[in-house]
Amino acid sequence: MEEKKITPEEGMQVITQMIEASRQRMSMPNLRISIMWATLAIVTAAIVLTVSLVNYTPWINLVWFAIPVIGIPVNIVVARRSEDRGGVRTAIDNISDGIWKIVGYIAIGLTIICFIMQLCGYPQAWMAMLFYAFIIVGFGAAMQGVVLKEVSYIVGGVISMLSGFVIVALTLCKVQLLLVWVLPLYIFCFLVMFIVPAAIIRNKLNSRQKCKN
Amino acid sequence: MQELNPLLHSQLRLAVMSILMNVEEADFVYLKEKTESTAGNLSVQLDKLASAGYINIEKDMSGKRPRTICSVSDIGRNAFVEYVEVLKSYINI
Repeated sequence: MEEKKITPEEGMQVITQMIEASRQRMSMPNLRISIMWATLAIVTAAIVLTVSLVNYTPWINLVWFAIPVIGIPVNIVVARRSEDRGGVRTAIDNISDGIWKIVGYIAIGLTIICFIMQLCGYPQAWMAMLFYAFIIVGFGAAMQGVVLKEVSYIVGGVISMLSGFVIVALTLCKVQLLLVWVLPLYIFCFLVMFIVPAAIIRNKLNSRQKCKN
Repeated sequence: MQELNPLLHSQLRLAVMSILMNVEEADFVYLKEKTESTAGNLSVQLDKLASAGYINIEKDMSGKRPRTICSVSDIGRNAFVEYVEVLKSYINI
């Protein structure tokens, strides 16, 4: 394109072309970060479940700290690389970032609360992190779905939230939560909240690309 | 009939504004790629839009490389909306 005068028809054509050219990016934020967190959560849960089934020790629960210890630095690196690659930032990117920042800050706050509770002699307070993973993360995924107009995210988020409320209800009713079903449920929820929607979105983008070609 | 805004009624400046109206911000490389323009020409047109207050230009460092980020201002947004309205009257939409 050059700096040249155009007719009104050409003007309208330029506007339409540029909207079309920037449309695909508008509808899709960076999915790699959410896939990374989901994979980390799933792998950690699978390790805890496997080790617990073989030979349970309460120390195995320390493996859960692998999620923030690995996730936060990787998140920073991936985000910085995306920034370095430059390009464009949309309203969807800003809203998505806002949603996941809130979810992240709640996790940090809750971890501090659980530490304090443990120091006060209530180690069972860590159960709150389980409720968080199902309910707050599920809410974040559902909101992400609303922003992206992607039903699979909303369905995954709602399944996770409902699972979380069932777990809260069982806890209040003093029903024992067994690792053998809680952790597979946790893994299932992270699969339907993040991995399945990401695969669906990738397929949609690929087929859209094929149609263009 | 109202006259079309001469600042916007130019192929490259209109293309840049159309992209920026769609996104929150875009960097120089993205704009150059989407508008298929030369760096020199794009740079001149961005300066013209910035001088009119239609866009904001921020320069920062991305790693070791400088990065120019553009976003549309409120004045630019209003001017673009008005331009489209006038354009519609020209082509009877």
